Amino acid sequence: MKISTVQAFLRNAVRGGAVIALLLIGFSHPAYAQRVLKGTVVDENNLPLPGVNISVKGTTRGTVTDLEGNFSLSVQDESEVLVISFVGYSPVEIPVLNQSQLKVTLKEEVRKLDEVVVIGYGVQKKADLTGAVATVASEDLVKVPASSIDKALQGRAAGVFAQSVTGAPGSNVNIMIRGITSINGTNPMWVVDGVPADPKTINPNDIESMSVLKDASSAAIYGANGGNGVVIVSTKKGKSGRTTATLNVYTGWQEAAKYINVANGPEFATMYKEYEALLRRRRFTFPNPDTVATYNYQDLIFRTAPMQSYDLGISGGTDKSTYYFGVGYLTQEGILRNSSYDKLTVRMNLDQKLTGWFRVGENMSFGRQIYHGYQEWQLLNEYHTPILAALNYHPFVPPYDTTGNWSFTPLGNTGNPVASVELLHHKSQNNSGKLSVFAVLEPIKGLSYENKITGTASFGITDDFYPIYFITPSNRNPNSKVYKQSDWYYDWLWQHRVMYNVTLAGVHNISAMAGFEAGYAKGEYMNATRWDLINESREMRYFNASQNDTLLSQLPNGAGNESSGYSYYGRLGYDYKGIFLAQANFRRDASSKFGPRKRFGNFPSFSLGFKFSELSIVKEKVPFMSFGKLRYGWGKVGNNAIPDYVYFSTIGVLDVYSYSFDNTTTEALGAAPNKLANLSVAWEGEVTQNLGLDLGFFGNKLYLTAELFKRYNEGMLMEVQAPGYAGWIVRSSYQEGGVANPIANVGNISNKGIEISADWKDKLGKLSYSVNFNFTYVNTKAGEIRPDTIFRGSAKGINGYLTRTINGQPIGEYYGFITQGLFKPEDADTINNVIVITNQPYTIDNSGNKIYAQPKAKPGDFRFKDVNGDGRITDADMVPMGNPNPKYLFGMNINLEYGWFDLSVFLQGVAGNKIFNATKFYMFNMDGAFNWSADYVKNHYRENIYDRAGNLLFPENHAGKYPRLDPRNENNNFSTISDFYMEDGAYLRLKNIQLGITIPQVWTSRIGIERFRFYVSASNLLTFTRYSGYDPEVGSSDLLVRGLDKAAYPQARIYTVGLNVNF
Amino acid sequence: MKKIYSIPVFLTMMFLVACSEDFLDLKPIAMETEETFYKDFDALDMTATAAYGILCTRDIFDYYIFMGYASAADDVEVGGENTNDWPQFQAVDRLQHSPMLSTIFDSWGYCYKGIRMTNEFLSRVDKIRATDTKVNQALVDQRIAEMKFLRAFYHFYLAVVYGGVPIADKIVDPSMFSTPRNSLKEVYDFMIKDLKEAIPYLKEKSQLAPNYGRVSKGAARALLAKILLYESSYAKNYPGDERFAGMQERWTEALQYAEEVINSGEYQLVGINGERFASWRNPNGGVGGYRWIFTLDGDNSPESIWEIQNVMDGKGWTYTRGSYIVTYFTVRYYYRPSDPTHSDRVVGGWSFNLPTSYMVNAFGNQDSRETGLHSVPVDPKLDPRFATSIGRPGDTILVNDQTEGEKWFPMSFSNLPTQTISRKYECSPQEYWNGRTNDNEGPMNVRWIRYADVVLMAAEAAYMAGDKPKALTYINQIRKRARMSGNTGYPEDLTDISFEDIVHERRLELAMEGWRFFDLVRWRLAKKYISGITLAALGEGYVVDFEEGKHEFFPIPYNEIQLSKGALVQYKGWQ
Repeated sequence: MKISTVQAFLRNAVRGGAVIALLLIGFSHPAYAQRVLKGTVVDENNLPLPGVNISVKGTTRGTVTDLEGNFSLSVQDESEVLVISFVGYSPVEIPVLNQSQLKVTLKEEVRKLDEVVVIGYGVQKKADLTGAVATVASEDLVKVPASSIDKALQGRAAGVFAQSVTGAPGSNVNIMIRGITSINGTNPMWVVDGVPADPKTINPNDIESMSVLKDASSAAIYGANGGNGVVIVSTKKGKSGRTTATLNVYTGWQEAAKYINVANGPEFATMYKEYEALLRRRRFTFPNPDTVATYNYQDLIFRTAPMQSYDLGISGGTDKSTYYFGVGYLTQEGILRNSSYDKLTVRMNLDQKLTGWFRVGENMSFGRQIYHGYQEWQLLNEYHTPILAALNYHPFVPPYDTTGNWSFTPLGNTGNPVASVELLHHKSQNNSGKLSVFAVLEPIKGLSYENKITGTASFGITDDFYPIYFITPSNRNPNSKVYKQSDWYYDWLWQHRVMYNVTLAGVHNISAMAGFEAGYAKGEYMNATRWDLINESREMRYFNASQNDTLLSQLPNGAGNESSGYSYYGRLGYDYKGIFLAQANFRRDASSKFGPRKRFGNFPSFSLGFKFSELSIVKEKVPFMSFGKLRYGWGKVGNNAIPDYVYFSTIGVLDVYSYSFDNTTTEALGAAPNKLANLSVAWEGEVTQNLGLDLGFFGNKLYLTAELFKRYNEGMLMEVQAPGYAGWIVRSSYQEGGVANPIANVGNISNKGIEISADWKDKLGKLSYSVNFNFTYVNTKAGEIRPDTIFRGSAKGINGYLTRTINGQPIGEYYGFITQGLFKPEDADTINNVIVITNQPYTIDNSGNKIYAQPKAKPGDFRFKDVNGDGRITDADMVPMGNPNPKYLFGMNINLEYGWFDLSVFLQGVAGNKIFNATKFYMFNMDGAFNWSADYVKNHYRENIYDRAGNLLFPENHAGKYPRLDPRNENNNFSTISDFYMEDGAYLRLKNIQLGITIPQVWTSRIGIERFRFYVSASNLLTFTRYSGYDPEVGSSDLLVRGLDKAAYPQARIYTVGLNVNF
Repeated sequence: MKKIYSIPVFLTMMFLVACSEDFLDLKPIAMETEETFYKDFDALDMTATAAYGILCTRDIFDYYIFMGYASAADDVEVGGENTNDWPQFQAVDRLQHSPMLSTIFDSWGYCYKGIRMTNEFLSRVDKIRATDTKVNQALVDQRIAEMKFLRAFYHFYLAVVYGGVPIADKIVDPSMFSTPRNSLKEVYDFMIKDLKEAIPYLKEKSQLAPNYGRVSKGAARALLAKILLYESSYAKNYPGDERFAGMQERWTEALQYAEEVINSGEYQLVGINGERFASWRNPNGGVGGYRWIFTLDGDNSPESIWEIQNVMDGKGWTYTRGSYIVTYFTVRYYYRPSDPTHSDRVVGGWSFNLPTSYMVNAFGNQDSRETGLHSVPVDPKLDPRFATSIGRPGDTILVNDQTEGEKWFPMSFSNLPTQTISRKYECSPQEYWNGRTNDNEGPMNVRWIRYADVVLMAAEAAYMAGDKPKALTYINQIRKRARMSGNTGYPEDLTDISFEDIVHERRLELAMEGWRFFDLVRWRLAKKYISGITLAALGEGYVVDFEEGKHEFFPIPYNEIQLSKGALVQYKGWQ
């Protein structure tokens, strides 16, 4: 038995390889002919249908109809069956018998709901679903040229928010399904072909179907991992029949959609002169501002960048064995110079029937990703991102000095953005392979048993090289340096599952499933640095090229972590005549992340459905309603997204604890507890309820789904921020070996919302069209958190923490002072030769003097609102300024098809969120250390400014809408957190528009091509927003600090042309 | 064929059996746990080391006491590249800081981290000394005393910066996360008790050699004298102020501990007899005593009582036990001697902490706000301490340049609004800028308490206790050493002494060492000396205003107040 399994595998593999070889060298299959069958295919109006597929069931033989709807096909014997199919029509099967001339009428397809949806550990008919499950069409996923499949989810399903952390190619993606489920992260679990997987290693073209499990009644079967929802992906499998091949190729150009308007050379110089005049400097740096040159640094760091994608899929099989091979390669350069992403994916799915009741198979995938350029943390950090530097660098300074070296501005310490882009040598790669082998037994009808073993192995390499450079006094490198990191990861998972379906008395449908699985994962890393390389050439960027062995910073580092767990789970389903539906799930998880007393978590759920359209009274009274179902689900899911070993009190033996006692450079090692452990840390429990209504009208041409959901996460695992008094302050976690604060089940978070999706599909003469629309409203609140307020987020120069997460309030809301316009000259009096704003709140001190709320304010300064009316501006006057998480999400997709042409338009947007535009701080700066915003140059408040001799240099501008230029920052206009920085983050984006031309099959079939489609496409072509920064899609790596824009790497505008060819 | 069923069923059964609890019992990798680690005193001693290690926390102690807080005083201006460089410190310089200033107030948490390390040690030591049979009991007593000193030291730092703070006399568990302030008096009593308990078990500096990094008896006495001096000053100068309620004038006690240091014979004023000291800066003639203290060679000098030990260890900027003070203070640009037109600036340090014109004038006894001095106006440069403390245009810095070799390079003053630079922690860029990496790892120890400080404390305590002749003797020792460091004849011995003379002598002797602001506060002279000053970087328009009742202490960081759930309350002036 085992031997024949192996043989079957080998046979399939050999066959698959042979097919590829044949295709590549252009041979086609010769068919073995016995007699010829002729026929015509027409539609219901008796009009001929060209391009209809005719194939002989269970073989690779087939043909298509010509322009008159005629075909001829060789058949071998009378028992064969023809399968006749055409897009938009119901397929028919016709036995050959002894006919020689056939006339086939195809009926237009009525949209059916017998579509099968993949759910957790099983499949279910869409019509019978009782949980909240969204499906995403696989052809939609490949429309937008996205580097990963998670990015392609954006706008495609109600309730799903997806946003790239940065616009860099290959960037990570934040996904939230129905709001912020937990502050430990919101990204859902990805399950590919039944096992957890990394979405970045999936080729969108390999995907057969994708379902998003949104509520607990559908996701609870994944227990601890289902807390953030589950995305289930099934990859393509071979079908018995003729071998088909699909080739998808596109090439594209990407560009920055927008530049920010900063001052040019003369504008900067004028402003700088004004600044110097205010400081009463004797000599001006730019006596004649108009003669100053301009260099556009945004132009110098951004570029038009190419991208290409190639993808080939081959599938086929016989009655007993099927196969699918997919190979994909994507290469994408970033619009920021010196950044790129390459991805190679390979997939092989084989399935072999050994007997009528026993089959085996495997799913194998390999993914390789290579990143070049800036890392995510750099792009999000104001000290490192070259994009902010391009806005800040002085426009009069050329990028290179006369000797060809990078310039350094004489007026500040902003680094030259061109230098930082050019000297960057960061490369990281990840290679990951996964193999599942499975056996399925079906000993009696309705009973099946599956046993699957999966293993993953991956390794990553990071290569950094730092040449000798000088950018600023605090950013320089006197000696070349090479840094390398290697990491390894492997895991295994063993799953067992028994399923049984039975119908009793013809009306009671019962299904049952029970399973057990266990898994283990381990990761390790090693890194090291060496300095002083022989030279800077590419070949010398290795440790052995280091000339110096004495530097201690060459010490290597390495550690690892491992986790294990096992689970029992089961499901019981019942329906009565397909009218009343009920389902119950249960899972019990055990995980090594929790201490011995808290290891197990139980996650129950149930759901009920009532298909009222099946009642005869409904059928009679509401004939236009073709489908109607009401459903309700309740469930509890968990979350164990916390670091390993939090229940241990670990000891750090750290460099930052060591000390030199003996007046030499010898250091004694220090060690101390570096973490407040919590032995009682336990599972999170998220209770979700979902009420859904599905309605179909007019033969399901119109299909509506509405859902109401409510989720409450109890005992959310959170870092309990210890006060400084406790002595656990950590400057950076890598410095002191991880999180010091204890993690405890002390948080609650609640999400409530509504989802609506509508789907209309119809034909108007030869025009077929469809419109999908989805809308989500979600309201997320921190139910209760400890401590009562979590402060997060900062921006250089702006004082204080920007966001707060407070009990009963939105997550990561911005708090600050309210500005009430600028003080005007009429608000001021001169007291003792000093201009004082007297029209403002004040208190009276012991000696009876007025103490003004903003004591140093002058006309042209912000008036901050004294919210509590105590006559002072204090922290108590800081109020909520905006929620960075969108409350409303929407997506709309329109598809049109007419003859040769197809057109799709995809719109996506969000609303109800605010963005903190921190770039304004730098561009409205008070001392010329950075460049100014062009808007600020033209529109700031100004009093008359005279030179030392009393000549008027700059006339007053009392109409200026921005605060005065104040080198002394007396009123903290910009260094105060205020609503001045808050902007509306709503946008509507034409995410993709695509026009395709399909050459009629009757022509292409002559050269062996079943389908030949050519298309042009544009992504992110138009964005409607009031946001003034680069891109309203401001990503973040911190859930509690969303919507903080420090010159975000914008989403590129992409133009592509592509080909889809099916053989 | 039926056998096929048995295989997966068997495997499943086997697996279920194998999945016992052991499968989930995974231990942390590459890390010990508390249970496995603290087995003997040697392990516990590593925690004592960690209590010292926090002293080197790169940008906390370096930044704050010597730059951040010091810049509130009249003698120091923040400097840097421009008026927007390090905005938090610029705000303190202008006395425009607020509880919201985020990063500057990390010192709060880091002091408590140091305190936690001492408590981690102290809470375990009794059990270890009872169970570890090989333990050296005298050594354990010495370590306990060291930890008590450090606990007092970290509390003292918190108390001078923030006033009354919550005392952490044990490991703080989550039930204690909302703890209110203790009164300043309670904090002082706690520190004094810790130090008095520590002194008998500590060793004299000479017994510690060469482990000068350890706490000595002298260090504990000097810190105790300092604490008593602060308490006495607060008590005398802020009667009726509730922040200082209960504090007492204890001048004779302060004098007693200062004199115990002086009479121990362990320390001396370096160069008081005009000795020259060999230094690589002047290998031929040597340098005067005062200058020598502030060179690398002067680390752990005979004048050193308590220094934070810094080393350039090449561990990189996040880990190094080096100090950033050196980088901060060293001049930002200099010129190559081969570049006579000064067209090409070479980058050195960061040019923070600039001496003001008030500081310069004080060296010439010409600060008009100093009334009642017994010194007469002179050229500031005549005081040998001037050149060690302050650099001015025309001054040079010794650089070992890759192309020009070791030479004195002219400093650039073009971006320095005060036209001065602080020189006490100056090093050649090659010394702090880890020659091969881009990491700033100042190797120079931070001179926290040196003997001259103790002599001045003795002078002050004696004066306040009514013993003028003794005060005069001590002041003249300081002046003599200064004079003998350059043999210029200045400063001359005093024949009579006023309180202002003591204030003046501390100001000059400890110039740019970060104590001025805290001294002004305890003397209640901050309003007199700070209000009304202007800042060179901001021109004439901006006048600094010191508000009494508010600016004596820095506000508690805003988020600490939040994290305490309201248990911590700002002093009235900051509410």
